Amino acid sequence: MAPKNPSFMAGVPELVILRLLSTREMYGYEIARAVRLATTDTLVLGEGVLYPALHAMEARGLVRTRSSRAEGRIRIYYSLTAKGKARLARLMLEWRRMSQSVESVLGGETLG
Amino acid sequence: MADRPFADLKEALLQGGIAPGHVRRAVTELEDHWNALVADELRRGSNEEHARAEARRILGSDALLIDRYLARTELRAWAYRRPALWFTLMPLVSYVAVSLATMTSMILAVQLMLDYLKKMLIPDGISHLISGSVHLIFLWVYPSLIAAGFAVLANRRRIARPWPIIGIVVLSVIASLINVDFVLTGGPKPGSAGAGIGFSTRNLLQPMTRTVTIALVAFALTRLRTRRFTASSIFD
Repeated sequence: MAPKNPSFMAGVPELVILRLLSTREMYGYEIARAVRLATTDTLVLGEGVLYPALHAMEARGLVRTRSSRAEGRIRIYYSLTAKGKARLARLMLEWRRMSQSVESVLGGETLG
Repeated sequence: MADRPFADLKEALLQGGIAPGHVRRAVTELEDHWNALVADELRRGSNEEHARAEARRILGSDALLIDRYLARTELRAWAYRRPALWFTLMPLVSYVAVSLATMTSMILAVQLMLDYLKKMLIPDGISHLISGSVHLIFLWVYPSLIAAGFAVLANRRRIARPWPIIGIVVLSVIASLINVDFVLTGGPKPGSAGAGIGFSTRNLLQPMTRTVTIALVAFALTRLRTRRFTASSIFD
Protein backbone atom coordinates (compact mmCIF):
# COMPACT_ATOMS: atom_id res chain seq x y z
CA MET A 1 0.00 0.00 0.00
CA ALA A 2 1.37 3.45 -0.93
CA PRO A 3 2.04 5.78 1.99
CA LYS A 4 -0.68 8.37 2.41
CA ASN A 5 1.70 11.14 3.51
CA PRO A 6 4.80 11.02 1.32
CA SER A 7 7.97 12.79 2.42
CA PHE A 8 7.29 16.04 0.57
CA MET A 9 4.37 16.48 2.96
CA ALA A 10 6.79 17.07 5.85
CA GLY A 11 5.81 20.31 7.55
CA VAL A 12 2.25 20.15 6.24
CA PRO A 13 0.75 19.01 9.57
CA GLU A 14 2.19 22.10 11.25
CA LEU A 15 0.75 24.31 8.51
CA VAL A 16 -2.67 22.67 8.77
CA ILE A 17 -2.77 22.88 12.57
CA LEU A 18 -1.71 26.53 12.58
CA ARG A 19 -4.31 27.35 9.91
CA LEU A 20 -7.11 25.67 11.86
CA LEU A 21 -6.10 27.40 15.08
CA SER A 22 -6.07 30.76 13.29
CA THR A 23 -9.86 30.52 13.04
CA ARG A 24 -10.55 29.80 16.73
CA GLU A 25 -9.12 28.00 19.75
CA MET A 26 -9.56 24.23 19.65
CA TYR A 27 -8.73 21.13 21.65
CA GLY A 28 -7.03 18.05 20.20
CA TYR A 29 -10.09 16.05 19.20
CA GLU A 30 -11.60 19.11 17.50
CA ILE A 31 -8.42 19.69 15.52
CA ALA A 32 -8.33 16.05 14.41
CA ARG A 33 -11.99 16.13 13.40
CA ALA A 34 -11.53 19.43 11.54
CA VAL A 35 -8.57 17.94 9.63
CA ARG A 36 -10.64 14.87 8.72
CA LEU A 37 -13.56 16.98 7.50
CA ALA A 38 -11.50 19.60 5.67
CA THR A 39 -9.32 17.10 3.84
CA THR A 40 -11.95 14.35 3.44
CA ASP A 41 -9.41 11.92 4.93
CA THR A 42 -6.81 12.65 2.22
CA LEU A 43 -4.41 14.00 4.80
CA VAL A 44 -3.94 11.41 7.52
CA LEU A 45 -2.18 12.96 10.49
CA GLY A 46 -2.62 10.04 12.88
CA GLU A 47 -4.72 11.55 15.59
CA GLY A 48 -2.52 10.73 18.57
CA VAL A 49 0.55 12.25 16.97
CA LEU A 50 -1.19 15.61 16.98
CA TYR A 51 -0.18 16.00 20.60
CA PRO A 52 3.62 15.83 20.35
CA ALA A 53 3.31 18.27 17.45
CA LEU A 54 1.12 20.61 19.52
CA HIS A 55 3.39 20.36 22.56
CA ALA A 56 6.44 21.11 20.43
CA MET A 57 4.66 24.08 18.86
CA GLU A 58 3.87 25.35 22.33
CA ALA A 59 7.51 24.89 23.40
CA ARG A 60 8.50 27.00 20.37
CA GLY A 61 5.99 29.70 21.35
CA LEU A 62 3.71 29.21 18.33
CA VAL A 63 0.62 28.27 20.33
CA ARG A 64 -0.58 28.86 23.87
CA THR A 65 -2.78 26.64 26.01
CA ARG A 66 -5.68 27.06 28.36
CA SER A 67 -7.17 24.25 30.41
CA SER A 68 -10.83 23.98 31.16
CA ARG A 69 -13.07 21.38 32.79
CA ALA A 70 -15.52 19.77 30.38
CA GLU A 71 -17.70 16.69 30.95
CA GLY A 72 -15.87 16.06 34.22
CA ARG A 73 -12.47 16.02 32.52
CA ILE A 74 -9.69 18.52 32.06
CA ARG A 75 -9.51 19.68 28.47
CA ILE A 76 -6.60 21.61 26.96
CA TYR A 77 -7.46 24.30 24.42
CA TYR A 78 -4.90 25.64 21.98
CA SER A 79 -4.78 29.07 20.35
CA LEU A 80 -2.26 30.90 18.18
CA THR A 81 0.27 33.37 19.52
CA ALA A 82 1.60 36.34 17.54
CA LYS A 83 4.66 34.24 16.74
CA GLY A 84 2.37 31.44 15.54
CA LYS A 85 0.49 33.85 13.26
CA ALA A 86 3.77 35.04 11.74
CA ARG A 87 4.89 31.44 11.27
CA LEU A 88 1.56 30.57 9.60
CA ALA A 89 1.89 33.50 7.18
CA ARG A 90 5.40 32.39 6.23
CA LEU A 91 4.42 28.72 5.83
CA MET A 92 1.39 29.64 3.70
CA LEU A 93 3.55 31.77 1.43
CA GLU A 94 6.10 28.97 1.04
CA TRP A 95 3.40 26.38 0.42
CA ARG A 96 1.67 28.51 -2.26
CA ARG A 97 4.96 29.21 -3.97
CA MET A 98 5.82 25.50 -4.00
CA SER A 99 2.38 24.31 -5.07
CA GLN A 100 2.31 26.88 -7.91
CA SER A 101 5.69 25.61 -9.09
CA VAL A 102 4.54 21.99 -9.00
CA GLU A 103 1.25 22.90 -10.67
CA SER A 104 3.02 24.73 -13.47
CA VAL A 105 5.19 21.66 -14.10
CA LEU A 106 2.20 19.31 -14.00
CA GLY A 107 0.26 21.68 -16.28
CA GLY A 108 3.08 21.53 -18.85
CA GLU A 109 3.72 25.29 -18.91
CA THR A 110 7.46 24.90 -18.45
CA LEU A 111 7.83 21.85 -20.67
CA GLY A 112 7.44 23.84 -23.86
CA MET B 1 -6.74 -1.46 29.37
CA ALA B 2 -10.11 0.24 29.66
CA ASP B 3 -9.37 2.14 32.85
CA ARG B 4 -5.82 3.29 32.09
CA PRO B 5 -5.26 2.82 28.37
CA PHE B 6 -2.14 4.97 28.38
CA ALA B 7 -0.36 3.74 31.52
CA ASP B 8 2.39 1.98 29.53
CA LEU B 9 2.80 4.99 27.27
CA LYS B 10 3.18 7.26 30.30
CA GLU B 11 5.95 5.12 31.77
CA ALA B 12 7.76 4.85 28.42
CA LEU B 13 7.68 8.60 27.89
CA LEU B 14 9.03 9.26 31.39
CA GLN B 15 11.81 6.74 30.83
CA GLY B 16 12.53 8.41 27.49
CA GLY B 17 13.16 11.69 29.29
CA ILE B 18 10.01 13.59 28.28
CA ALA B 19 9.30 16.27 30.89
CA PRO B 20 6.70 15.05 33.42
CA GLY B 21 4.51 18.07 32.69
CA HIS B 22 4.29 17.12 29.02
CA VAL B 23 3.68 13.46 29.93
CA ARG B 24 0.83 14.31 32.29
CA ARG B 25 -0.75 16.54 29.69
CA ALA B 26 -0.25 13.98 26.92
CA VAL B 27 -2.08 11.35 28.95
CA THR B 28 -4.88 13.78 29.86
CA GLU B 29 -5.34 14.78 26.23
CA LEU B 30 -5.11 11.26 24.84
CA GLU B 31 -7.66 9.98 27.37
CA ASP B 32 -10.02 12.83 26.50
CA HIS B 33 -9.54 12.15 22.78
CA TRP B 34 -9.97 8.40 23.28
CA ASN B 35 -13.23 8.92 25.19
CA ALA B 36 -14.56 11.14 22.40
CA LEU B 37 -13.65 8.54 19.76
CA VAL B 38 -15.24 5.74 21.79
CA ALA B 39 -18.42 7.81 22.08
CA ASP B 40 -18.37 8.38 18.28
CA GLU B 41 -18.07 4.64 17.65
CA LEU B 42 -20.85 3.79 20.10
CA ARG B 43 -23.12 6.30 18.35
CA ARG B 44 -22.39 4.51 15.07
CA GLY B 45 -23.65 1.30 16.66
CA SER B 46 -20.40 -0.43 17.59
CA ASN B 47 -20.27 -2.51 20.71
CA GLU B 48 -18.14 -1.32 23.64
CA GLU B 49 -15.17 -3.58 22.92
CA HIS B 50 -15.00 -2.69 19.23
CA ALA B 51 -15.44 1.00 20.00
CA ARG B 52 -12.47 0.96 22.35
CA ALA B 53 -10.26 -0.95 19.97
CA GLU B 54 -11.19 1.32 17.07
CA ALA B 55 -10.55 4.44 19.16
CA ARG B 56 -7.12 3.15 20.05
CA ARG B 57 -6.37 2.29 16.40
CA ILE B 58 -7.30 5.81 15.29
CA LEU B 59 -5.08 7.39 17.94
CA GLY B 60 -2.11 5.21 16.98
CA SER B 61 -0.08 2.55 18.73
CA ASP B 62 2.06 3.19 21.79
CA ALA B 63 5.15 2.58 19.64
CA LEU B 64 4.11 5.28 17.15
CA LEU B 65 3.28 7.82 19.85
CA ILE B 66 6.50 7.12 21.77
CA ASP B 67 8.50 7.49 18.56
CA ARG B 68 6.88 10.85 17.79
CA TYR B 69 7.34 12.19 21.31
CA LEU B 70 10.97 11.13 21.58
CA ALA B 71 11.69 12.74 18.21
CA ARG B 72 10.76 16.11 19.78
CA THR B 73 13.90 16.95 21.73
CA GLU B 74 12.37 20.21 22.93
CA LEU B 75 9.98 18.14 25.07
CA ARG B 76 12.79 16.47 27.01
CA ALA B 77 13.22 17.44 30.66
CA TRP B 78 16.29 19.56 31.46
CA ALA B 79 17.22 17.06 34.14
CA TYR B 80 17.31 14.37 31.45
CA ARG B 81 19.25 16.49 28.98
CA ARG B 82 21.91 17.52 31.52
CA PRO B 83 21.79 14.89 34.29
CA ALA B 84 25.37 15.52 35.43
CA LEU B 85 24.62 19.20 35.93
CA TRP B 86 21.28 18.64 37.62
CA PHE B 87 22.21 15.87 39.99
CA THR B 88 25.76 16.79 40.96
CA LEU B 89 26.03 20.56 40.70
CA MET B 90 22.45 21.61 41.53
CA PRO B 91 22.35 19.90 44.96
CA LEU B 92 25.56 21.78 45.86
CA VAL B 93 24.17 25.09 44.63
CA SER B 94 20.92 24.44 46.50
CA TYR B 95 22.80 23.58 49.70
CA VAL B 96 24.86 26.78 49.53
CA ALA B 97 21.78 28.89 48.68
CA VAL B 98 19.63 27.43 51.48
CA SER B 99 22.48 27.75 54.00
CA LEU B 100 23.24 31.35 53.02
CA ALA B 101 19.55 32.29 53.18
CA THR B 102 19.17 30.70 56.63
CA MET B 103 22.35 32.29 57.98
CA THR B 104 21.34 35.71 56.64
CA SER B 105 17.89 35.37 58.22
CA MET B 106 19.44 34.43 61.56
CA ILE B 107 21.86 37.37 61.48
CA LEU B 108 19.03 39.75 60.55
CA ALA B 109 16.90 38.38 63.40
CA VAL B 110 19.77 38.97 65.84
CA GLN B 111 20.24 42.50 64.46
CA LEU B 112 16.56 43.25 65.02
CA MET B 113 16.79 42.04 68.63
CA LEU B 114 20.21 43.56 69.29
CA ASP B 115 19.12 46.14 71.90
CA TYR B 116 17.13 43.51 73.75
CA LEU B 117 19.94 40.92 73.60
CA LYS B 118 22.52 43.40 74.96
CA LYS B 119 20.44 43.77 78.11
CA MET B 120 20.18 40.06 78.85
CA LEU B 121 22.47 37.10 79.37
CA ILE B 122 21.53 33.83 77.74
CA PRO B 123 22.22 30.86 80.04
CA ASP B 124 25.06 28.57 78.89
CA GLY B 125 22.69 25.62 78.46
CA ILE B 126 20.41 27.55 76.07
CA SER B 127 23.41 29.01 74.25
CA HIS B 128 24.85 25.52 73.67
CA LEU B 129 21.45 24.26 72.59
CA ILE B 130 21.19 27.03 69.95
CA SER B 131 24.73 26.35 68.69
CA GLY B 132 24.08 22.61 68.57
CA SER B 133 20.82 23.08 66.71
CA VAL B 134 22.53 25.29 64.13
CA HIS B 135 25.22 22.63 63.67
CA LEU B 136 22.62 19.93 63.29
CA ILE B 137 20.58 21.87 60.75
CA PHE B 138 23.47 23.15 58.60
CA LEU B 139 25.78 20.17 58.71
CA TRP B 140 23.34 17.25 58.82
CA VAL B 141 19.69 18.09 58.13
CA TYR B 142 20.16 20.37 55.10
CA PRO B 143 22.64 18.19 53.19
CA SER B 144 20.69 14.98 53.90
CA LEU B 145 17.35 16.48 52.86
CA ILE B 146 18.72 18.24 49.77
CA ALA B 147 20.64 15.18 48.58
CA ALA B 148 17.58 12.97 49.15
CA GLY B 149 15.30 15.54 47.50
CA PHE B 150 17.34 15.51 44.29
CA ALA B 151 17.53 11.72 44.34
CA VAL B 152 13.74 11.49 44.67
CA LEU B 153 13.44 13.96 41.80
CA ALA B 154 15.77 11.76 39.75
CA ASN B 155 13.59 8.77 40.47
CA ARG B 156 10.48 10.61 39.36
CA ARG B 157 12.29 11.70 36.19
CA ARG B 158 13.48 8.08 35.63
CA ILE B 159 17.08 9.32 35.46
CA ALA B 160 19.79 6.65 35.19
CA ARG B 161 20.89 5.43 38.62
CA PRO B 162 24.53 6.68 38.73
CA TRP B 163 23.71 10.39 38.63
CA PRO B 164 21.63 10.71 41.81
CA ILE B 165 24.08 8.38 43.62
CA ILE B 166 27.01 10.57 42.53
CA GLY B 167 24.99 13.62 43.61
CA ILE B 168 24.43 12.23 47.09
CA VAL B 169 28.11 11.31 47.50
CA VAL B 170 29.41 14.67 46.24
CA LEU B 171 27.10 16.68 48.49
CA SER B 172 27.93 14.47 51.47
CA VAL B 173 31.67 15.00 50.94
CA ILE B 174 31.35 18.78 50.56
CA ALA B 175 28.94 19.09 53.51
CA SER B 176 31.33 17.11 55.71
CA LEU B 177 34.01 19.77 55.13
CA ILE B 178 31.79 22.69 56.13
CA ASN B 179 32.04 24.32 59.54
CA VAL B 180 29.41 26.63 60.94
CA ASP B 181 29.55 28.63 64.18
CA PHE B 182 26.65 30.47 65.67
CA VAL B 183 27.10 31.63 69.24
CA LEU B 184 24.41 33.60 71.03
CA THR B 185 25.32 34.67 74.55
CA GLY B 186 23.61 38.00 75.11
CA GLY B 187 25.31 40.84 77.01
CA PRO B 188 27.50 43.63 75.55
CA LYS B 189 28.76 41.31 72.78
CA PRO B 190 25.61 39.28 72.22
CA GLY B 191 26.99 36.74 69.78
CA SER B 192 28.94 35.79 66.68
CA ALA B 193 28.37 33.88 63.47
CA GLY B 194 30.75 32.33 60.98
CA ALA B 195 31.12 29.61 58.37
CA GLY B 196 33.99 28.03 56.51
CA ILE B 197 35.13 25.04 54.51
CA GLY B 198 38.25 22.95 55.00
CA PHE B 199 39.73 19.85 56.58
CA SER B 200 42.74 18.85 58.56
CA THR B 201 45.01 16.06 57.32
CA ARG B 202 45.58 15.16 60.96
CA ASN B 203 41.93 14.34 61.46
CA LEU B 204 40.43 12.79 58.33
CA LEU B 205 38.28 10.37 60.26
CA GLN B 206 35.77 13.03 61.30
CA PRO B 207 34.87 14.29 57.79
CA MET B 208 34.86 10.71 56.50
CA THR B 209 32.42 9.66 59.21
CA ARG B 210 30.26 12.67 58.45
CA THR B 211 30.33 11.88 54.72
CA VAL B 212 29.22 8.31 55.26
CA THR B 213 26.51 9.29 57.77
CA ILE B 214 25.02 12.03 55.58
CA ALA B 215 25.08 9.74 52.53
CA LEU B 216 23.40 6.90 54.43
CA VAL B 217 20.69 9.20 55.81
CA ALA B 218 20.11 10.63 52.32
CA PHE B 219 19.85 7.13 50.81
CA ALA B 220 17.45 6.07 53.57
CA LEU B 221 15.25 9.15 53.02
CA THR B 222 15.29 8.57 49.27
CA ARG B 223 14.25 4.97 49.66
CA LEU B 224 11.49 5.98 52.06
CA ARG B 225 10.05 8.47 49.57
CA THR B 226 10.54 6.55 46.34
CA ARG B 227 8.69 3.49 47.67
CA ARG B 228 5.58 5.60 47.75
CA PHE B 229 5.86 6.71 44.13
CA THR B 230 6.96 3.69 42.14
CA ALA B 231 6.85 -0.03 42.58
CA SER B 232 10.45 -0.43 41.43
CA SER B 233 12.65 2.28 42.84
CA ILE B 234 16.02 2.95 41.29
CA PHE B 235 17.48 2.27 44.71
CA ASP B 236 15.94 -1.18 45.13
